[in-house]
Amino acid sequence: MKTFVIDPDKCTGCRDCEMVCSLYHEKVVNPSRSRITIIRDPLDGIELPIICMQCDEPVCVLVCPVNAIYENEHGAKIIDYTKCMGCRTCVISCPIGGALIDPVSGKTIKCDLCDGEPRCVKFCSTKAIEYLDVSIANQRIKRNTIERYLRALKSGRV
Amino acid sequence: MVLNRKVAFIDLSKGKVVTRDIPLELRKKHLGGRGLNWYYIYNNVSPDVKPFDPENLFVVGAGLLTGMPMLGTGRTQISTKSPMTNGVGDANMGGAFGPEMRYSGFDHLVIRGRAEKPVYLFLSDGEVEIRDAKHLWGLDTHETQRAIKEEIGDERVESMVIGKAGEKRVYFANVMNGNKNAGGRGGTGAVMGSKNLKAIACRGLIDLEVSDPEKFMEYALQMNEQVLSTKWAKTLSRLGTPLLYDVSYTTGFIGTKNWQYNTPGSEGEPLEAENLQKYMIKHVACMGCSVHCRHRVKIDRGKYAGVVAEGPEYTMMGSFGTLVGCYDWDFVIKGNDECNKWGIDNLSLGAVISWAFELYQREILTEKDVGFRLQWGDQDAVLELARMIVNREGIGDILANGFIEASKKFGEGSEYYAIHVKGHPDLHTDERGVPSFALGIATSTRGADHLRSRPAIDLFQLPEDFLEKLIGYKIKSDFTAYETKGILVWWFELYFNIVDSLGVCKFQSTFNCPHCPQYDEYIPLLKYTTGMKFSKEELMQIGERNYTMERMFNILNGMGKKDDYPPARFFEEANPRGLPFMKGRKLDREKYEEMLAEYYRQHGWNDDGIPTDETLSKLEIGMPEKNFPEVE
Amino acid sequence: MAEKFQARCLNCRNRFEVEKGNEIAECHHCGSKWRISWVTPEQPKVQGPA
Repeated sequence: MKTFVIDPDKCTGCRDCEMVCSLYHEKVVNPSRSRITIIRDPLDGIELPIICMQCDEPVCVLVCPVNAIYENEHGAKIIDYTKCMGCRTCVISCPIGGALIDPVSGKTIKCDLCDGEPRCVKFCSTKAIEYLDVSIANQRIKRNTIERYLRALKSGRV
Repeated sequence: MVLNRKVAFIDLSKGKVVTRDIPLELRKKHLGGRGLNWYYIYNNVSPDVKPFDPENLFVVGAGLLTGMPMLGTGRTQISTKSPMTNGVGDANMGGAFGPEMRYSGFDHLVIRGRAEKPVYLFLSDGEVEIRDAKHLWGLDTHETQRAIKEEIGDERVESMVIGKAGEKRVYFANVMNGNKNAGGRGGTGAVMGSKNLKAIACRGLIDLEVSDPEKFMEYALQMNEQVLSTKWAKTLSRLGTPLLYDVSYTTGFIGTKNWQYNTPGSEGEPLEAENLQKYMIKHVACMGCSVHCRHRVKIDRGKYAGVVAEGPEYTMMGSFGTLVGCYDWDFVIKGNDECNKWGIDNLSLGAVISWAFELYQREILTEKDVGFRLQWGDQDAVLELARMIVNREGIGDILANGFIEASKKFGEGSEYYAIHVKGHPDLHTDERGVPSFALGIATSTRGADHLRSRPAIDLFQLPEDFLEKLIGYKIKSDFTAYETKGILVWWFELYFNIVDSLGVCKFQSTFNCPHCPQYDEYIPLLKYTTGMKFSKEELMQIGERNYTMERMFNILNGMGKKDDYPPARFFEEANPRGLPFMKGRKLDREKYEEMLAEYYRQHGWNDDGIPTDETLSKLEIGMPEKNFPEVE
Repeated sequence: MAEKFQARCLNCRNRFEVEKGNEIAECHHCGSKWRISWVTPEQPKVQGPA
């Protein structure tokens, strides 16, 4: 079983992930149509990646009135567009903002893990987003935390 | 399609906009970005137009590859007739403006006229709206961007704005996007201010279609990996451009106390690049960049505690560092942040301030002229003089008009101490020890500058067979040589023009590292994105055409061979300090002449540096023909 | 034996070897002595004169 590990401290705000996500899914470069979103404000110093975490007990699956969301062999929760009626219930109920609306096509969209090889991860040069086996992921999250602490310690900020 | 972005012709006097397709023919001849910007200016700005006249054009362009997930393509080109040089005024800006402008449907904005009252432009999905900016006038560059975002109600809005310096038409005012992305050089911000144009904002949802998404994705990743595998990119990723300081101050080619010395020596140790790390919060990047050469920093304690900023770059380490005898990262960070908010080119500002300090040392300026003393290393004096320039107060009002006008005012041989070419201040690099660098700043179309041709790899003394393969000519490995360096500078002028016309970041080009992607890699990138096929020779020909067009603009505006020389000081005074091979070096006038002649020959220009008729016809460059459409 | 990595000498501009983690190193071509900083644990660079 794999999961995303996201470390906002490593996100530079370059948005290669957004550009390549739209390129993979829509065959065009258009960050506004990406499944991954970087909440970014260079003036306030914010770069925060937001993406569907493929929950164990996904709210989107529970609330979908037409059962359009299923799980594929990679554990991705996929929207079946032959069923989806675009009611946005999943968009409204997802507590982490993982489901969104494509502003061009109007379709409800979400991360589908690119057939098990998320392109955002491939293009992320700083490893702000990784896709790892959960046992490794646990170690990575702990390491990221401790590195953050050590950095703060070294800078004299704690 | 990548190629279906439009050009908007905007007349601010009339408040009217006309949009047009960009003919494929123009793409084939100029690509985009810097190349196309100068196509529009060359044809429409005649020599009688002064920089602040409404008839001057202010042109914004996205590179042909801007807004793609590779090679730092977040670039925007801003071009105009410069108030400092009365010739080419041209700046290349990082950040995220160019990409968002493309998504909003535009590759080029050609702006003329002057709005009656302050306005800003909002580009959105193929439309241009001229909006009232009365409430934005007087705000700094950060406040302005925040206010625009709030007004439009979309946090993905990107804007390029001017600050106080641009409003006051300080000749070296710039244009800013984000925290620190600067369209720094040439005085573009002053021209924007003269048009009563406070900002250009954009937001777009228009797909950038690429001709072969699969192949492009694969190749883009390969390009990023090629860059990241170099030692250069690894160093840049960690230290940013301050890495250059370690080399320049150790070797001895960093202007110090104006350009009296070529290094501060051990006094400069506190500014070593590694010492910036302790201020760092995180690394940040421009759009489309996998290298992330900038720091987000915070000053925790001391006089400037609480400053949170991006950068600073190497430029600022001269401006508020060695040039004025200050060796304190706190001050460099603080000064950098102020410059970014004022919207002023920190490089030019630093050169002008350090010049004033040397004039004070030489008693050409006195305490009475300035209002206070200008003593090397006095941080408060530096900051106060900067503030006076930005606000055009007292002597600041004279300095704000740049070297040429100010030195006429001051007289007494003051111009000799002003380190500039064509009226455009030089980076604090000291070029007198490196002939190829000296030729590069002298022939640069926008006046003294390190980003128009600098063959930084000349310093590596690369093997000559390697250089021959890279450049296509026999080039001497010895960086102190003059022979063949005219060809080297020529090659880099063409190459950097292509880099700017594509919208690729120079730090991911062959600028500082011969292993970064260049022509051979741009060919497939262009094919997979635009579907257009180019050969290396064709791309070089475009570079030559674009460069010659800029040269012709300068020639028509009265420039010539007389303006192709580095500052006189570099011929007169030898380096007093530095490593043994650098100490005692200065430029040799006779050898410089030969290098310049070789350079002219290589371009196909005559002995006076004027492109020959044969060259112009080969490049299909005619006399200017006005083509700004009717906007009634 | 300690691992060695290459840095470029600012004086003679040849590459010279630096032992892993060392903060001072001497160029074996020209004898210049440098303070070294580490870009990565495998990439030393000259920071300034020793």
